[in-house]
Amino acid sequence: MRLIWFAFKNIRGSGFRSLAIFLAVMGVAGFLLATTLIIAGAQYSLNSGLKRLGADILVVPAGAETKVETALLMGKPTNIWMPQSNLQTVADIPGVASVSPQIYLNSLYGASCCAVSEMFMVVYDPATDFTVTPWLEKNLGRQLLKGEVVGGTYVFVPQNENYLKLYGYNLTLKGNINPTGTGIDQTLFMTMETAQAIAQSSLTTAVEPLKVDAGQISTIMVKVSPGADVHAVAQQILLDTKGMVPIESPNLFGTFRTQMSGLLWGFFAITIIVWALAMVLIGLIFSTAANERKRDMAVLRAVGAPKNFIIKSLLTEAALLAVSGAIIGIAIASFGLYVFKDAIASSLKMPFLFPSIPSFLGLFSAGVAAAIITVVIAALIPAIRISRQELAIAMRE
Amino acid sequence: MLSFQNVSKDFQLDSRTTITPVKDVTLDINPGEFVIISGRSGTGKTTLLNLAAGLVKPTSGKVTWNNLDLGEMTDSQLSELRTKKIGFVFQFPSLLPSFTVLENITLPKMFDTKDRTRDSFGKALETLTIMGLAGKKDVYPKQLSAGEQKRVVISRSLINNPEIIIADEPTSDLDNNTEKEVMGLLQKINSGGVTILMVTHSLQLLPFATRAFEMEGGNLKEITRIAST
Repeated sequence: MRLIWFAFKNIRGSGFRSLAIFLAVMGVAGFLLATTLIIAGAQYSLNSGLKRLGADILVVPAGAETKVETALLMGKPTNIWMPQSNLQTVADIPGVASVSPQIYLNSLYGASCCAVSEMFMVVYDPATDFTVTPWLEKNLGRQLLKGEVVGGTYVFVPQNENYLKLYGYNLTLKGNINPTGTGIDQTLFMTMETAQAIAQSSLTTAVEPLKVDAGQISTIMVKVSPGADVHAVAQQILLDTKGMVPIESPNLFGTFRTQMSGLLWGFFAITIIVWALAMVLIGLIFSTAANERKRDMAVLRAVGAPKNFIIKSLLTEAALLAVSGAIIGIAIASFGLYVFKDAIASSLKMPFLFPSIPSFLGLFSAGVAAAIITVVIAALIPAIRISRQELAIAMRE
Repeated sequence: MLSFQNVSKDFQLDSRTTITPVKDVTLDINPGEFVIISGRSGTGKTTLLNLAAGLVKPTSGKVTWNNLDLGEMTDSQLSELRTKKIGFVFQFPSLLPSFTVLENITLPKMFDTKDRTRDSFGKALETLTIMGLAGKKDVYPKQLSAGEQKRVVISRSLINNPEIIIADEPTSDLDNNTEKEVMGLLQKINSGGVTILMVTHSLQLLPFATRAFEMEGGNLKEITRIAST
């Protein structure tokens, strides 16, 4: 306790130096946490998106892989088609436990018949679906009826309206699924019956009507049997079907993952450089401070302070500055990231979902611990040097 | 009590130059004495005090404290000795600028690990009152005059009830009145049974001593005749 009091008094007494260290730690810790949070947030977002899809394999028309990834990742609507007969072909492949078709549609851009512009719509089959149905069973206790939809977390009914109007057709929003940070958050899920009703309405309300082909689907969601090798099943799908490409769930968003990996290495390199520079800077500030206080430390030694007290007091000062700087820096960075998460995700063109509270607290603690370790290491050499100084010489300086 | 036996101290300034500020000094200081060592600047007086407190180790010879060789003591043993037995009055301003007068005085208490029960602030205030500075307990050193700072340093040297006070030129930067005041205080402390070992370049202060020495070129010579004040 006395050591903390002593260190605190010295921190207060050397205001400029303490402020410089505090700001350096604050900046570095904030930067480190922000970059880690962006990367972790993107990873968390991808995992949440994949979990929401619930499929082990996604079968898409050949050449449409990137379109599907962009639609699911960023919510950019797309129109891709393949014959519905493919569904049975895939279902018959050994190792496939269940299949479910999905149809991708989109509303018009800036049309007066639609309350929302360019909405990505996913039509699912209630009989086989495992993407939305588990959520519906848990939250609604039933399947969607005609005219009912479920939206991603960012889908909402416009103010002063009771319905979500698409192609002049009124849709009742029955709920919003949990955020994933991906395009799913901006997606509308509905049954084929509802999609056909919207298409019917579009014939009279839109210049370009919505087309829903009964014999066409966009993707096939595949669940493999327990114990089956996902990769082997995917390979079999590739061999047994024509014009279709299976994407294993972990490989989904592969293009994005490659980009993210590059970004991650970039962030990592910048972080290491910033961290190293901060460590040198803090070490230099402490060295200067130690030199300035040589005589004070010699006086302390003369009035009875052991060498280890000198070291401990300087390290305690360092730790106090590190803790306060890191907490403030991380808090500011977290708050900024939370407030501007959408703008950051959109400018970096990557999904982002703020990590769960336990994960965030883990990152927070790790950031503070890293700051303490760094600053204490930076202060250690000057502290040892000043504790070993020749007292007689120091007192004459 | 404190004994120097053929003590010499060398300092190597660079690879070619070595100086010996203290040469073959032998001196015994007994409890209750007021010993003053005078001499011009650079004659080794401060080094002798540093040897007495174990702040530097002799190159040859022995410095003993109640027959314990300071050269053989560990850092923590020396720290304990300085905390409990020795009070320091430095030549230079030695109050820590970030601490108030009261906090500066209690600093040596921080290192007395075996005596944390006593009211250190109470004791410090008591000492400050004796020094006539009770009203300035909460001010910072830079707000004090040179004489007041010196009195605070003396207060700090007394906080742990030391057996000896080692004073290095305690009146060097003071005016005549303040010098007399400080010397009066040291004399008063000495009359209470505390041994004083002091160095000064001022021959006028020698009459305060019970024994006086002159240091020249690292050698110590007792002054047998001291003119009275």
